[in-house]
Amino acid sequence: MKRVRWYAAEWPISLKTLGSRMKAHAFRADSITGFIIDRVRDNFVNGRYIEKIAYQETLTTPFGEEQVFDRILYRQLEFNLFSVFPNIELLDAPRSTQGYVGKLMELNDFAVSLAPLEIDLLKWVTAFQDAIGIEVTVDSLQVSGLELESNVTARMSLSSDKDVRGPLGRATRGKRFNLDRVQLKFPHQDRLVSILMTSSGSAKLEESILDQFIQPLRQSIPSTRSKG
Amino acid sequence: MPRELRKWYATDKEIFDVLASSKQRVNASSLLEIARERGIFYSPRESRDALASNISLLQHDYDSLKKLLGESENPNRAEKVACVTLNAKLTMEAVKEVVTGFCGEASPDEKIVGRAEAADRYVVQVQYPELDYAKTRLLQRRIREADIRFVIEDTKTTIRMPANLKAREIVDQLKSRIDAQQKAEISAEKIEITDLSADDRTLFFTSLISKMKGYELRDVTNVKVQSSDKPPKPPTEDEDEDAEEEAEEEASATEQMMAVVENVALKGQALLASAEYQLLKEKGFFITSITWKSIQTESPYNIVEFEAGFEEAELGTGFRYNVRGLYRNREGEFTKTLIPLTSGHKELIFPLIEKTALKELAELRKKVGPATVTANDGGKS
Repeated sequence: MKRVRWYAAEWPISLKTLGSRMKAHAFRADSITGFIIDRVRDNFVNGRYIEKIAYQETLTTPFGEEQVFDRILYRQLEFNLFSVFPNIELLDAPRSTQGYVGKLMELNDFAVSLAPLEIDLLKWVTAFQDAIGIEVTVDSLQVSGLELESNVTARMSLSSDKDVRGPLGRATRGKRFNLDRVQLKFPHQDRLVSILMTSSGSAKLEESILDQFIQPLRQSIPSTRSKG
Repeated sequence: MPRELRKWYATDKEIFDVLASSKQRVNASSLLEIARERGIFYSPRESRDALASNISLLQHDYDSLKKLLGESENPNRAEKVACVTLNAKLTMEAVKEVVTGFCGEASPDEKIVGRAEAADRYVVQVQYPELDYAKTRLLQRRIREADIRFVIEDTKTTIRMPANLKAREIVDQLKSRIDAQQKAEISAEKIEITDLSADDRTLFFTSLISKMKGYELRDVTNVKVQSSDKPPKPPTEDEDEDAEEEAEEEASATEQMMAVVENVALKGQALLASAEYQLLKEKGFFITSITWKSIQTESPYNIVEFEAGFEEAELGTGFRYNVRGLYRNREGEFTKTLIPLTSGHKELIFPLIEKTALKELAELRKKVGPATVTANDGGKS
């Protein structure tokens, strides 16, 4: 499974310039952090941000001796940058993206603004369905903050073998709620494939279908709401 | 108790005030601990006020009072530091002579001791009383310590001090004594950005946080920004008719500008990349203080948290900075809590902040040239 997450950004410089600045900060054998850039176009940059994390591990042998080992970890973050919304796409991002964001700020002369997304999932699902031209089934979803009464909220999880958007509409009629995540299924090459989408602008899908569906997923993200 | 005797004794009310006013440091569990040491067991469910009241009614001798006062004091008081760079290489003997002369003339409630810390370092330790009448009586007079360090380099001498008024006063006095001893006025370099435009002031901070040798910027968690727009001045009385008309216009402008934001403090993550900060920057706001985290590019690869800013935010004077602590690298993961650094460890990092700030400032001045528009004149571009 591959996890993809999108963010919105306003670039103060062209992506070509940003790409060449990233190339100037290339990751080398003696670097701690750096970029490996594969493709730079006027409207697109594809590459990886690499962090080398070195630390010492201390082991105590059964004879009471302390042994110290130098260990090295490499953390990689694969990214695609676009000139159009959503501007940043991270693939299987590690938990902390601080280092990458810090470097992005620096390379953009501290003039870039980044914002996480807050997406209306039902709109995203409909737009995605239109983009791929296949009817999708939302077979499970999660709702939070469903206002049952004043100051009483509920968390709800719906699942079925058929589409649960109808039951969701009936259960939440006239009430406020947040749709946090949906899982959709659709037929593809004689089998059913599934994609998990979240309201914070991320999607989880099988690696085998990534190349085919990542573009419609990205392009169907409704751009109306973004945090910050 | 007769009034004249009060200065020798602490009353129960005064002790209660000390215990009640330091909520964070003297919490319920430390009050229980104080009582336990005397063999008294109070219920852990007792309220903090009741505990403080009970303890204040016990008998306290000098040592126990001193301990209570010690508990109410913050041991990790993170005082920022400031520095002045003298453009002359002083000798250790010269510094020692000046400090010895200064020690001899200290006021009776101050204690000044000077000692050589290393071959190129001389420390002046000053103990002085600090008065704060806003506090409860027992806490009004506190003995503070200020370490003033002379660091002798190849062509310069850096004086590093706590960023407070008292330390700055002492350094001014020491500086004039040094001038008298050297029979010349040694030029002193301070980190000040009064002459820089709003954009260049921000650039000073962004260069400082991103160009520190041996560190790589990771996050910016606190930023204070100041507006470069000044509200128009109210008209004066001795202006002629034309000016009066102008003044009327100005007055209406003042009315329109009633809702004015002068400064904003932001707290969060990756703040310089937030839409809110970028909007403020576009509106001509400039950075006046910043807290950031950087990762060491050499072993042990910890994340260090720094802060830097100007005491006089609008003027851009009184540069002060600190190393707040570090997040230790534990097998590739960083600890969640900030570990404070020892003063010795901090002393190793301070020169780096000073050198980067001075270097970046010199480069900015070189780039901008002598004729600059200051931020106070509304110099946003």
